Amino acid sequence: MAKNKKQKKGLSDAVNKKKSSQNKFSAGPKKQNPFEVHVNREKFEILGRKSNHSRGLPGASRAKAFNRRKDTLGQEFLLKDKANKFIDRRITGNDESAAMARFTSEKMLQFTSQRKDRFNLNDDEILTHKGQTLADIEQFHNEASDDDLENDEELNENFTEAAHFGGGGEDMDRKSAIDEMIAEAKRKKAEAAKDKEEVHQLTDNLDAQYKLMASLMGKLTKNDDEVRPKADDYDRAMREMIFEPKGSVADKLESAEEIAEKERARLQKLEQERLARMRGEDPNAKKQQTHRSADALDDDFYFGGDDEEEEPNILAYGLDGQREAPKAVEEEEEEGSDLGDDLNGEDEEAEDGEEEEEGDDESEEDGTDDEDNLSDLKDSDSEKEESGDENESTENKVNLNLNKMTEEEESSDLPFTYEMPGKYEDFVKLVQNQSPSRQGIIIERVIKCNHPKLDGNNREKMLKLFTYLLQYINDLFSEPSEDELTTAFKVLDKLMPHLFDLIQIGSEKMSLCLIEVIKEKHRDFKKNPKNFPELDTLVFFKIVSNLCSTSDFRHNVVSPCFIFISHILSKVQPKTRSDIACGLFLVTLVLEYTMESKRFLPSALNYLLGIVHMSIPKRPIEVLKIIPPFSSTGVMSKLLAIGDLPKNEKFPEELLTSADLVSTFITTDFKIRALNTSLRLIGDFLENLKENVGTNFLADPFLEMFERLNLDVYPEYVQKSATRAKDILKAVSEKPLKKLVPPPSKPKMIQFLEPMIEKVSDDKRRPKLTKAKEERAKLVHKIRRETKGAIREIRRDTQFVQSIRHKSQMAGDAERRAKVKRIYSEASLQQGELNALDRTNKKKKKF
Amino acid sequence: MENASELRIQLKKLKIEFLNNPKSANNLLEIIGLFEESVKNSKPVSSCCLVLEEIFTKLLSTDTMLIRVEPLKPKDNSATTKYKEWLLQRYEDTWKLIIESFKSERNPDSCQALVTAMKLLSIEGRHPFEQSPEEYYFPISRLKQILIALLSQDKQNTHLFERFKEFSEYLDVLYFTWKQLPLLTKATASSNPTFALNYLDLIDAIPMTKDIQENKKLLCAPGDDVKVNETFEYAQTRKSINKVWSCVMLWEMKDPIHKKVLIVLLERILPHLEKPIHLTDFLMDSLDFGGPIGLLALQGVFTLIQKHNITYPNVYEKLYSMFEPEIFHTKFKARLFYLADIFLSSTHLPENLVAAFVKRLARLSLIAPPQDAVIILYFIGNMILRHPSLKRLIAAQQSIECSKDPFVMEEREPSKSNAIESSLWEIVALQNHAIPSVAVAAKFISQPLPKHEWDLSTVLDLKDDDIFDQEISRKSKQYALVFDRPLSMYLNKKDKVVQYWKLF
Repeated sequence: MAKNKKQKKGLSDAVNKKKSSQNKFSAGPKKQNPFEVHVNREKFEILGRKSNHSRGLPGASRAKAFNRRKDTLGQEFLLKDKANKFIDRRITGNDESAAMARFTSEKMLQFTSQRKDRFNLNDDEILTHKGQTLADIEQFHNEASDDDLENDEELNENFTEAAHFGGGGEDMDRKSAIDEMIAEAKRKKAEAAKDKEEVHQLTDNLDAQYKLMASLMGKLTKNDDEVRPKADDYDRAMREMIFEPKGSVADKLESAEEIAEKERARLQKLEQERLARMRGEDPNAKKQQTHRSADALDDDFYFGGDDEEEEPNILAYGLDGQREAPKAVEEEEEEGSDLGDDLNGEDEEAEDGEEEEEGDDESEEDGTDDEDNLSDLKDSDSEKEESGDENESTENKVNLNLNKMTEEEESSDLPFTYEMPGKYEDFVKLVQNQSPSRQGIIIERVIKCNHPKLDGNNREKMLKLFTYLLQYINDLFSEPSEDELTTAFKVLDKLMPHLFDLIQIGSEKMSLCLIEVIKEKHRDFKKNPKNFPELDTLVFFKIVSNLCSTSDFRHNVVSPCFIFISHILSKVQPKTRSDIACGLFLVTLVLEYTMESKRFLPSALNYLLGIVHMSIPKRPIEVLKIIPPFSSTGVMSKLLAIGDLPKNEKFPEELLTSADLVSTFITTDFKIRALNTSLRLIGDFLENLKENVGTNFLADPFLEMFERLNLDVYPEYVQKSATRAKDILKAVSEKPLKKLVPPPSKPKMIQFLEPMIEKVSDDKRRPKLTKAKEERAKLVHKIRRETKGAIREIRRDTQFVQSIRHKSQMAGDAERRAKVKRIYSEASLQQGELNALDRTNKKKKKF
Repeated sequence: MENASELRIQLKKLKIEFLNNPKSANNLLEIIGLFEESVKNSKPVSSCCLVLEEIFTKLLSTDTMLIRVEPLKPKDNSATTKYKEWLLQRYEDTWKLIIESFKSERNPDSCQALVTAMKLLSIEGRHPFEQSPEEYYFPISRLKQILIALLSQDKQNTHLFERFKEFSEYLDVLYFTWKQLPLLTKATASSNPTFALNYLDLIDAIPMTKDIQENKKLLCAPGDDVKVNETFEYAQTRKSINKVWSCVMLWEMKDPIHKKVLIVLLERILPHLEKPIHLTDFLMDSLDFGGPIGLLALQGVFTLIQKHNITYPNVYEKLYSMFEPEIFHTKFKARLFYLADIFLSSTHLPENLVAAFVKRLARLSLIAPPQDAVIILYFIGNMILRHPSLKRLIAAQQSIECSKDPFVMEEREPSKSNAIESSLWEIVALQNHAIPSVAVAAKFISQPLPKHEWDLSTVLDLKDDDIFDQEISRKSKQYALVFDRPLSMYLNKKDKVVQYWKLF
């Protein structure tokens, strides 16, 4: 009755265990007896409905329920009205967990009993394995196995045969035979013992010898007594090398080619981004490649969302049946060729690795040397590019070389570290009265000493430095004399690379600074819109050109500059030499801005037209029309006109100079230079635009104006420029025009509409309820079902309990009845015996 | 400046004393004396004006200066009457001085004087000297004084007329001004352009609109219980307007006056004229002037065509000839676009005519300032939307190659310019305009046309600087930089400055 005595809580566990063990036994596919299966036949099969109760085993489930009751309710019933119980605390079972539990309980017992040693940490208990101490096992002694002994002790076959079954007729009598056998056994035993002893002895011997040997062997490896030879430098170095930290795993050192390749990839990416911006694509909107199924046949359908610009690369045929080159492909090809150019450039650069790091910040450490090399490189570049203007670039080269020569000498006495000046005045003090190249070096060192890489707060400092530099440039260029202007340009020349470095550090904030400057200049210009802005305005346009990506379709800095320049060129009537020169400076900048993007600014072209117009001598009554700001009549209309050149003077070809930007008096020399520059600019502008559609109309007014220009009086080079310009103009003007045709649009696909499915719940058997009511109804239904189930369970439980009771009652009754029967039978037997006795007594009496 | 503040304090003191104590009457003399001195030495007069305005407002509203004349009684010679007479004289002096100070060089002073005069006029209207206060009275003589002073022959009083405009919302002021005006016209005005301009400014400042006639706001409004016996009939005003204008038409027109006459005519006079047809000749003559005058005349002609059924055969040719490159440098380009928009709004115009306009505008857009280029582009877009047959210009049947543009820019007659055979290459060229807003506007031809026309009114108001401000205020965080480090002030590649300049 062990189970009865278990705790009540343990009951269900026991049941579960039993169940699982039962399952274990009936693991195989149990064959069902068809007579035991009850099938609930369904009239209709309903889609989507799971039927759980299509078949059942009533017998099995009843038995299951009965067993469950027997194990739970039955046990409880048995324990009913019992006051005490017997708890078996033995830990039974053979599995590992049981063993573990036994071990723990044993330990606990020891622990509690040994009160004294409870906190004795040194008391290491002896661990055993299968009754042996671990220490014993570790010695690997050959345990004296009892095998042979046991074998010996077993009586051998012959003996048993002889002894037990009487041998078989041999003459030797039984006793002597047994004695002999015993003696034999003893002898064997002694022999074995002797052998064993011998082996043992030998082993011990060996062990002892090994110990001796071991000491010898130890001498070879670690001998402290031996005097080490003193470590010489080689040893020390070697040991140092051994113990030196090996260094963390880093990227493989890149070869020059790899670096060049990386740089090329970077530039390529930047160039692609620039081209995208130039075309006015939104840089943030990534091109979404719409998913195309593998078996999409591309039936030339236009799917609403696609833009024309994002035409996929597909083979397509135009309306006229000719193969069209898709737009995207063309563009890519263009890019490709561009990149090809770049590649060539890079290859040249790649020849010596140092220059390659140009843009990298790391190279800043040895910036000065690099720069020198680079300036050489740059020169060679420009030479290649501007092969037409060889003279200039060589001149430049000479200039730069001279600078380089002097630079090192100059910078020798400058301190290497500079604090970032806190105020603009301090900054001015720092750079004032220094030669331009020294100023450049000072700025470079200020940047290096306060680079944001050293400290995050330096970002602010750099911004401040940038604003100071802008202010400084502004001050340099405000109302300078001729000499001052030259130095100012020299300073700007030195500062420009540093401005570039600075703006790379914080492009957004510094660009905002630049915008602020432009805004302020525009405000000043608005106050006095009839006068040309000073040089301190114009120079910023050049800075913008050097720092910002001017080819962008829309740029936060460049676009306002374009508008500003356009305003200046279209509103201010040039009256003096400086006005004309400033205008030409702006026009040059416009050309520079639009070089990549091939765009045009009408006011710049109009300005050039105006300059040509001014160079045409006109008779007083004659009116040659020109668009404002130039005047068609009056003195202003022939500011640059030349009657006749003085014979004795020569006018060699020269560029416009910085002096032109500040002086007011118009000389013949200036007249020629201005016209020559204008003519060259006109040529360049239209050369740049000649690919564009509709530029014909831009060229026409120039051609008309050229008709009137009397070139005979001018030196030869002017005539040459004019001829070149005229050729280009003619080419552009006579360019054939193709009538505009809308881009072929794909036929629009009829839109497929998803069928609109509406859920109509219109069950007549059950009226539609509100959500809350529906919920409630569900709940009530559930409760009802649960209650029903519970009642049934209770009923069954009662039934079970009653059946137990009934059984015990029946058992009691049967016992009683048996007892009564026995008593009756005994009594009747007794009575029979009594009667028999009486009868004998009567008989006796009769006798 | 110290003097000015001292003067103000002194004036204040004198005023308070005078108003509180009738015995200190000489203070008034003193104030007027100071005023006279300031006027003569052309010193600031505002404070004097204000003080006197206050004093006389008080005196007038309390009827202190009113001398009641009993019909049959002889004039009594009591001290009060004498005092009143004395006050009246001072009042006249003050008026003279105020009118005098209209000539002040300082604009705020003269404006203050005008305001003071108008205020005193209104107070006097409410508390008249001669009539019983129960009847409506307007001091016409005072108004006449003011008007004469305003229509100065030596000085242009534009600022004063600006100020006078504030009073033009009162029907009585308008009415009486118009009544006075014919009397003030001079046939010889053309000999004095200042007077002529002042006169036109005045007309400009007193528009007779329906609103004012209906509101009946009166400057000299008496209390509610007072009857207004004046009717302010429009017919009478109209008569005087016509009279005035017939006089003006006789002037000899020189350039600025001519322009002003046309503006005033268009904006103020035209609706009130009895026989606007008479203007036809004048307008036709003006049309031949071309430029802004021609444009204004064209607007007049348009009104006549629209409202008075005159026919003018060559109106489209005239309009066509207005579109010259110079137009972008005049103030009237917005008006021109507005007019052109109206003229070309009819969908029944021949397509070659509209095409000529479109083509001409497109040519102009190539040289126009950016903001005008944007207007033109949207305008062209609207034209194409209105006249679907013009789609030929941007969507030809076949892309035929032409060696030259078939459109003849020099042709004066739009229908002969052969524009319909052309294509709008100019707009394609503008897609490469350096200024992004223009380039974006030019993209419309390569996109499907919208269903509705572009709203020109938003772009018509754009000033030159707006386009700059718009671009500046465009907030995007794209600050793309050059990625090639320049080593000098020149770019590493493609620097143009270095090709053309030797800066150091």
